[in-house]
Amino acid sequence: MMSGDFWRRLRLPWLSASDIEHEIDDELAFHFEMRVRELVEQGVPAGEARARAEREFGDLAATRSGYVKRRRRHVTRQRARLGVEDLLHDLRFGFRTVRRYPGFSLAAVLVLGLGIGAPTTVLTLVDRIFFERPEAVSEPHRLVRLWRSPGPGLASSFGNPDFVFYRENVTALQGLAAWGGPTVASYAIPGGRSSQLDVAFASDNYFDVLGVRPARGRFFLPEENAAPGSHPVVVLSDALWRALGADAAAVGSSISLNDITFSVIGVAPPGFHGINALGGAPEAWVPIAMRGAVTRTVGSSWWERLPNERNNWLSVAGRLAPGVTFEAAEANLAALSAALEYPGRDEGESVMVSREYLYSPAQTSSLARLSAMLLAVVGIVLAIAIANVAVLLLSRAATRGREVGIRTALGAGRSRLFRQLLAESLVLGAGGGLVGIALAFVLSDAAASLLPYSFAGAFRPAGRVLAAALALTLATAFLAGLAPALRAARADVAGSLEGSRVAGGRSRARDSLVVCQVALSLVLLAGAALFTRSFWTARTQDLGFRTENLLVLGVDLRARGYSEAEGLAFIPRAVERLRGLPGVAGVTTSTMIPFQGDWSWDYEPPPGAAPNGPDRTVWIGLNAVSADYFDVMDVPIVRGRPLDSRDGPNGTPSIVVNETLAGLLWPGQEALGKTVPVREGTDFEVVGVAADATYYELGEEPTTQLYGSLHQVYQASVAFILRTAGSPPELASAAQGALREIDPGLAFGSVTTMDSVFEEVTARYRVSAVLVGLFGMLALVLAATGLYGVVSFLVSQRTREIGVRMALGADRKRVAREVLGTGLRLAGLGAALGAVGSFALRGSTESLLYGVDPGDPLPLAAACVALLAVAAVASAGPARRATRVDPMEAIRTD
Amino acid sequence: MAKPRSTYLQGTVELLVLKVLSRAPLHGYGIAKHVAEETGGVLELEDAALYQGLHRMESKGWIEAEWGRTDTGRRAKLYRLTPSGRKRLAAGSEGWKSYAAAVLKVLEA
Repeated sequence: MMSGDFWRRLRLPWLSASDIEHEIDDELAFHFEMRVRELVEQGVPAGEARARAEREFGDLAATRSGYVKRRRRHVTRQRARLGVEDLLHDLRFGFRTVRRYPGFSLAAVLVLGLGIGAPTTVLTLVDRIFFERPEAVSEPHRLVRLWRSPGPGLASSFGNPDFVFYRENVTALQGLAAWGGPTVASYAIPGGRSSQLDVAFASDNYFDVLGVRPARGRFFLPEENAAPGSHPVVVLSDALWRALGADAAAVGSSISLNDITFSVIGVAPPGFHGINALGGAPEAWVPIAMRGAVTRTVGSSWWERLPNERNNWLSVAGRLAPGVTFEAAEANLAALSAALEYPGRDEGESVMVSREYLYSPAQTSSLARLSAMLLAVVGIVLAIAIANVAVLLLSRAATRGREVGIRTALGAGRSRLFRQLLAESLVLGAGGGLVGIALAFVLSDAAASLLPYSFAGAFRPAGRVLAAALALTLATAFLAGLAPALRAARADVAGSLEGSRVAGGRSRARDSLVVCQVALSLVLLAGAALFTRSFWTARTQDLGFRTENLLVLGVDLRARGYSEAEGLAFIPRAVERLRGLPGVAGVTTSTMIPFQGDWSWDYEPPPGAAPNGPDRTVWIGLNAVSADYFDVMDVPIVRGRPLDSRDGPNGTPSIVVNETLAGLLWPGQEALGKTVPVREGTDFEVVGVAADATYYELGEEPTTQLYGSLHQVYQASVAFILRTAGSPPELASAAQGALREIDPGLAFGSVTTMDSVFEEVTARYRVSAVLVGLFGMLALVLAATGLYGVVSFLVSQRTREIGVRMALGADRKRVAREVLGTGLRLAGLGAALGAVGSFALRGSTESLLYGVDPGDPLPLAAACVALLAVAAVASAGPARRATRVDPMEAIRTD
Repeated sequence: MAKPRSTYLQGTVELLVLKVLSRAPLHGYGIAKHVAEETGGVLELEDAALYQGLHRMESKGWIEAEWGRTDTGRRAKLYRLTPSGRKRLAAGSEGWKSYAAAVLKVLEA
């Protein structure tokens, strides 16, 4: 009875539907059999007895179906409970095993931690970069961003008249908003010190379209954006409101921006900064109509359409109308763009609509490429980590063969064994997962700081990322434990019980896993070498000017309210004051900072020139500088002289051209003495030729540059450049203070160093070099330890054989060389595979490299050499151990 | 056909079955016969009600079933009382007895 019970219970979860039906049918059959017999004994005829029994029974169908339902539910519950019970048991077993081998477990957990931590970190970055929702914006997935596309693949800003046109005529969008800036403005509160802040310009429906509600007060009304300069109203950001004292009475008070009094009408909700992920958070918003007043822009091209004048400065976004698809909106806007006509419109200009509103198309594709590469790299790291742990588990399984054999002999089913061994790797995996997630928390910020764009706020793994990390952990644990568990569950019982050492030191599975690790790490190393070379090339290339020890302070004098005369008076005073600061070796001004945008114009030269623009025109980049520019910036003058104090307001209009411009305008001739009408009707004489430099983009084609004296070609947007004896940031506040002594309300649009500017430009190459370099090193270490482990294990397994050979007179050195050779052979095979893989992947990295050919064999060769060297070192230890084998000892040991 | 109409009736069937099984394991048919015999034919459990009751009690854990052999060697599904069923019997008996006593008191008053 007892054993019947036991087996019955055991069978329970495996009861099928037909089993259940048989149960009830059998029971009822028995009942009817007995009842019929009873009735027959009472004298009822056999045929009638059955019918009567059924009649008397009651609701047969209900009894039957009720039983089936009940039973089925019971079976399901049992199944679940059993599964869970088994799982818990296996997990407990896993924990015990892990505790039994603490050193091993620690190593495995560490390796898995690194392997899981790397992808989790990158996923944290990618998640934040691409999937972050802008604060306080409602239903951002219904927003679309518009770009003016002057030509195929280009994305640019809109002019205000264009925005108005689209806004009035679009039907697929329930609202179209525009914004510009932020730009810096000096600001003051009544009775307070003057300072500066970043102010953005927004259309009246800006907040409405984005679905933002005011935290206090209200947002703009349509009439406040109807006419230029009519309504000086301002919306404060939450941060600014708090900085001003978080006063309830702020709404209705006044602040002054660039000496214009603005009335505060509302405060934006906390955290709101628009829908750009980059570009800085505005501290205040004013209507677009106020732009002319705030920046003191000359003319009105920023507001209306003027012949021959284009001013494109607005970003535009809209919200899809309910039920409207993105494609419909695209079509609607394309049709409008085709209908938009005005003189001077670029041929082939169109409108681009994008669901991606956080970044410009160029930023999006750049970030996407980088993210894809990083994900691939950490995927490889994870694969290596899994292979590494699998080898560890396999090696240990080989020595645990005896234990496994005993358990099998005692009746543990194969599948049960398999599950138990898998449970152990699940426990290790869980540990690794925790370590990995902790690593991600710690490293995400540091990794993000390497990105070529700066993001505000901390990078932390969010819920989505943690869920992905969990899934990764489970998959990793499963994969790492699969081979060892399979191997162990298949183990030959008798063989493993017999000897304490398992026969056969060489395992194909282990070897191929190690070879895989080596191959993958070579791919990473080669990539690291490539990216490092690319970064180095970018960093060390000759820019044609110096970047060290230059402090740059940018100001907009026109916005500050200076006329040309006032500006021209201010600048020399400022330069003198700055020169007087301790630690300053030289001061100049420039209107163009390399890599930060250009002033240029289309010039129609006299005959004899070689044009580089359409219609026989030459693009000329203009830079208005002060005396000492070429000295401070270290730009060599190859002919004639630099611009200096002679080129003041009363001097002859003089310019310096660069070699490219000289070659274009006067090919084959002497440039000195030639003239260019920089100003309408005034010929400027070339007094010097400067060496070519890089002006706008790294690696650009030779570009023209024309230097004029600031006193003769006044531009209100000026950068003060200070050559410092020591580190430039140390002088930043002193320099700002010095200029504020002359003008307390001066606002600085930028305070930076030339090194920083250059660093930002090369950041995109640096991030690849650093991250892939780190991961490459990690991979190399993992592969090396994997190799070491396998070769080590080999030596210990073949100790007897080695002992015998040495007893028979084999040379110790020969033994060592053989061990070394084994290690190098494995590594070599891996390197060969890795080289093939690396070669196959070379096309994918092209867009991430600067100045290096992805097919360049040199980095690959260097990586191979490094790898083989490390492999030799890894094999050296075991090789030495092999030579130390005592032949007598070895033969004696079982 | 007849279905268990009230919990009260259900409770009575359960109690009787538990009592019968408290003496020895038995199959459904045997249980019905026993109750009929011991009540002198006054109470005859409807078959459907009995079997549904047995299945219900089995899923509640008061009785457990296993396939065994009758004296004649025929394979049958036998039910047996569990410890929790024994407790249920004791509690149920008490409850029913005091209920019956109360009703009797009223009827004989």
